[in-house]
Amino acid sequence: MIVVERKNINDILENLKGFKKILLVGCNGCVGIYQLGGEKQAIELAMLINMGNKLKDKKIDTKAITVIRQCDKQIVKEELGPIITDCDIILSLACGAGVQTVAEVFENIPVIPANDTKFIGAQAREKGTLFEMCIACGNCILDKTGGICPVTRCPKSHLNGPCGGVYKGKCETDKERDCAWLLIYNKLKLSGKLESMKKIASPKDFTKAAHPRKQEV
Amino acid sequence: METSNAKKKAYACYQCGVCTGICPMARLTEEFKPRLIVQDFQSNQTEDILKKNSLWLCAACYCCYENCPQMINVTDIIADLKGEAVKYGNVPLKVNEDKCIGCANCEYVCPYGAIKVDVHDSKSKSNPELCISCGSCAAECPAIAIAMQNFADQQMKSAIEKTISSFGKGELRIVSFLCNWSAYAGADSTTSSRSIRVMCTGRIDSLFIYHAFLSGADGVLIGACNRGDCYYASGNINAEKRINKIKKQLGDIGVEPERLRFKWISRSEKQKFADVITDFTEKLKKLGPSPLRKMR
Repeated sequence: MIVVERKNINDILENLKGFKKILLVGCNGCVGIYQLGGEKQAIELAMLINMGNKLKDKKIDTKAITVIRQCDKQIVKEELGPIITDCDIILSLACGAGVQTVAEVFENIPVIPANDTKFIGAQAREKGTLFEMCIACGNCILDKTGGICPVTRCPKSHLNGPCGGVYKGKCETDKERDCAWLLIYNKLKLSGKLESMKKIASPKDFTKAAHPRKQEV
Repeated sequence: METSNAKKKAYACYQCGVCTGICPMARLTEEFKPRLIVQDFQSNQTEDILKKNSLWLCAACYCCYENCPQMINVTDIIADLKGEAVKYGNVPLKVNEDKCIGCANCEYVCPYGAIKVDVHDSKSKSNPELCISCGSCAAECPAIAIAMQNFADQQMKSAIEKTISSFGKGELRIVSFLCNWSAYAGADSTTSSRSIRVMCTGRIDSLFIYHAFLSGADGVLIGACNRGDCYYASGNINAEKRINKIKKQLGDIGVEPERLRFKWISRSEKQKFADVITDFTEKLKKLGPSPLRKMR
């Protein structure tokens, strides 16, 4: 899922300067599930904005609403359409795709992001940390690497690993980070497919990751 | 079958009231009195109790059973009544399925497995018989889809407002949320701290803290059980995580993060509680009234 991080509240307030009526739009998709942009977070942010304005002796109207998915034009148009008239600016708590969808649907109202969109990740719930899992390279090799992506999880994106930097199973770039290629080796060994590691992979075709991409469905 | 067994024991009750006296939840609210529940159970007039939400306050600690001179298992009587109450639509929490997004955060924080996301429609379903209404799920829900029946959001918010309005002019407004199991039991009566009791600090929603500051609190203190001491397994740890996030946000906005304090206080540490309150009051005196109060 898409992982985002809240921008510094002062940066958000700076962007809101001069506007009187703000509509905060949360998203119940990825950001909602990871408790980064759901309804509660939208209300929290509205409260923080109120606090910030109170401190600066300003008055501002905030309203928080949440849609199921902000990356869906139809949903955004239907849910926000009726209430959009009485707001000056939209503050979106979704990922970059959501912010752009809202901006496209409502042409005459400025839309600003509340979050920095970071990566496609998955959660290790015990630790409460989100890890990057996929860089969307457009050319998946997970079939050959036992379901562990070296392009994402190896800092050097080695296709033929491991390199000499692995020490006690950890990466030389970060003592906390597992060596992706060691994980791949262990996984392939368990599933009895070590043979596939002997093949030397040819350089990857990164033209498939050249943006902007599009996909017909 | 079990109901009749429990009932037999209930006849032995001579209404001494030790159960109510010892009950940590009876301390919390006047609505919940185990003695009266046993009385009504004896005389088969349970209809009223079955319709009251306060029935779910019983946290099944068995303090009443341990202290009952007649060895009546009050906890099991109440457990039976809980099972009955579900038939009347009386449940500890209600999931608003229109709002639920199936994120499973509630499932993850629930120490009892009492709330689970249904695989068929990906909506949360609660199991009232396992739930002892600690409220961690409601505090953690990003979609505000879970409504606790006791300690409901609205109740908590009005409690906060009431507490803040009870302070006189020039008084330091400290709102303290105290865990009923630990910090509240260890609390001393102090002048500038009005306490709001909660079943578990895990219930303390981030919205409550923001609400307290916006309503004009100078400081917010949260007194939780020590690590590993939480009656609800992990409510205090979840609360700490939440509070740390809020502290960062408050600091960024320009409200001193020291105004929000999270402390581990066990029920036997009366001195520690007094020290914490004194120290916190001193600190707040130095900081002065909250910058958010200027506008009020």
